[in-house]
Amino acid sequence: MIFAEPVFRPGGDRFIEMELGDEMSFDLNFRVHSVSRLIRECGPAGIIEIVPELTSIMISYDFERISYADVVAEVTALFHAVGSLDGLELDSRIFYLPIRYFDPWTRECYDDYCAKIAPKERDPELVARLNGLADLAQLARVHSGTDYWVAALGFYPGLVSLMPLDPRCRLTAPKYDPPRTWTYKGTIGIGGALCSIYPDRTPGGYQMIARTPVPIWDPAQRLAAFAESLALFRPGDRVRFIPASAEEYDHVAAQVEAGTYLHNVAEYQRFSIGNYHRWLGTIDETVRF
Amino acid sequence: MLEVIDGGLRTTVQDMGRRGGQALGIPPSGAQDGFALRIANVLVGNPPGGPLVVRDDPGAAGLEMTLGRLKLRALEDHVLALTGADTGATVDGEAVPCWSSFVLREGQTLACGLAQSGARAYLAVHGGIDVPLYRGSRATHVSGGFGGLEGRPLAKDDRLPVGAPTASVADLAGRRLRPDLVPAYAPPMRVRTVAGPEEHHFTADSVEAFYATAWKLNPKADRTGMRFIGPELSFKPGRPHYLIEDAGADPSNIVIDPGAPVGTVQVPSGVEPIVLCVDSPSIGGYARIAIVITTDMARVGQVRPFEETRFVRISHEDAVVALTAQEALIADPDIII
Repeated sequence: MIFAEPVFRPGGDRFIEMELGDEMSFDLNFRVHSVSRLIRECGPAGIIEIVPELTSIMISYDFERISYADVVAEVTALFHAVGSLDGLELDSRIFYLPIRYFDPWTRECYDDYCAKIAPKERDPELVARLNGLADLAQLARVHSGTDYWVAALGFYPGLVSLMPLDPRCRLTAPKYDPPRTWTYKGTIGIGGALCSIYPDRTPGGYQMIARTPVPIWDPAQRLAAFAESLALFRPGDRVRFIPASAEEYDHVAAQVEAGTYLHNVAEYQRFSIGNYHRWLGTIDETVRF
Repeated sequence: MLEVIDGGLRTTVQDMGRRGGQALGIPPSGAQDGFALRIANVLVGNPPGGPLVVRDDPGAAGLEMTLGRLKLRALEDHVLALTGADTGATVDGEAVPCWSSFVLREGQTLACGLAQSGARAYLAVHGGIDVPLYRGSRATHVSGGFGGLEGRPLAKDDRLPVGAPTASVADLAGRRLRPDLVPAYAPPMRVRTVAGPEEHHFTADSVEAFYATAWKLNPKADRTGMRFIGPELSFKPGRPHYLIEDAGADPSNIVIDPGAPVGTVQVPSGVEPIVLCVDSPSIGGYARIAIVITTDMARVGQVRPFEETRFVRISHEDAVVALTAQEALIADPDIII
């Protein structure tokens, strides 16, 4: 549910967790980002860092400059100042990412897991079966049929949590249990109701269905897209996955390797939540692509 | 300049961490035992920086050794101080005391042994380790590959640049911390916490068990998280349906992914509580039974594998009192004699 009043929980002596709800929904996450932006712009002195998450906002503060009670009072007022979402618009870039579905690398990672940790059903087959899809072709069609909303960054530097904006493309999957000890950089995975891109070679638990050659995180800031930030995405951006052939994948990978790759991004886009809600009212959410 | 002869078990450049990266998933990093590093810096006349995350002040960078074994040679005269776990360090074979400043002359070798109590030792040098700032800090984040010296632990033949001196060697050598302030790292380590946001998800018996148990540190602990071995904790029945749909049937999984600041104690599946440490990312995902108070993360950083730790719950107000008292102490010139 989405709370009418925020719930505050002290996170030790220097953090406050401000919970705005406890469901996985776009509206809730949009409110999280709207309230976060307002706190960043007009919050009281003494607030240090504001971390928007899927359903909550983590706020760190300087205990010598502002008390816990004052932080709560000030940000509650800002929460109410946001009001109805339907009139809100915000800048939202769209990134187009080539991805190769059912690629050999995630298959190799899966085989390694089965051999060394525990046998399990293949990830794409599992996701297709649990979501009532006819075959892997439909899985690729459904998965690439929507814009994704960058709901949060975290867990690991640069890791993104993506929510599908088209409810007809919603996919859910359980996580690996026990988790994998490694995952290829650029792996596209599904866990719970979220999609994620692995920014680097890391442990992981999401079901792997594809891989992208395009980096989304670069501490060395080598490619042009990372000139201002190590992370490609900001919360509130959107991502569109473009199915790529093996040849197309290799072509992009070579450009990345040579340092000449230009990220494909539309910078002129704005997102209107009123328009989005109106559009949702016109579609049949039960139909799959 | 200092030359590394042996990087030891794992030694990294650390300060009091970087701020402002958590919205990108960049952890603060910095010293696991911030108290020890800050005192080391005070002893050699460096800025100690602020408590982790709270201040945008990383202070001077020093070295964090896990269990010790670091060996360094001075390429010019330097004033150093060792704090934290006592590694029985020597300069050219002669013992140097912990929690005191001393001079390492050009050509002399500092050799640290293995810590006998405590898990991490800190070395500060007057002027600070002068590696480039990365997003406002010199702290190393090894798995991210950034900060510190090339984003990695120290290795043989590394050269560590040192900032320009602002005081004379004679003025800075031989200073020591008031002996009553030197922490003892004797188990069981007592670590104070405040109630976590999901404490009410656990059964009353499990909350009691959490505070009654002498938890043993799992040896796989690192700067990202420390797992503690002990009884299994259980959750109250009655998990809401929407949570099962979104986050799965495991009652510890609140994903929904709330914030997980440094100090958060998560309990995945009720087994082995994890204290999230300085290299942990900003988002968690498991029920948070407690949060270690800022000052006591220093003690968490000194627990050795299989050593016992007891968690003690205090009020939020008392946690602020403890932090205020620690900050007043570090700012007090009379703690150095």
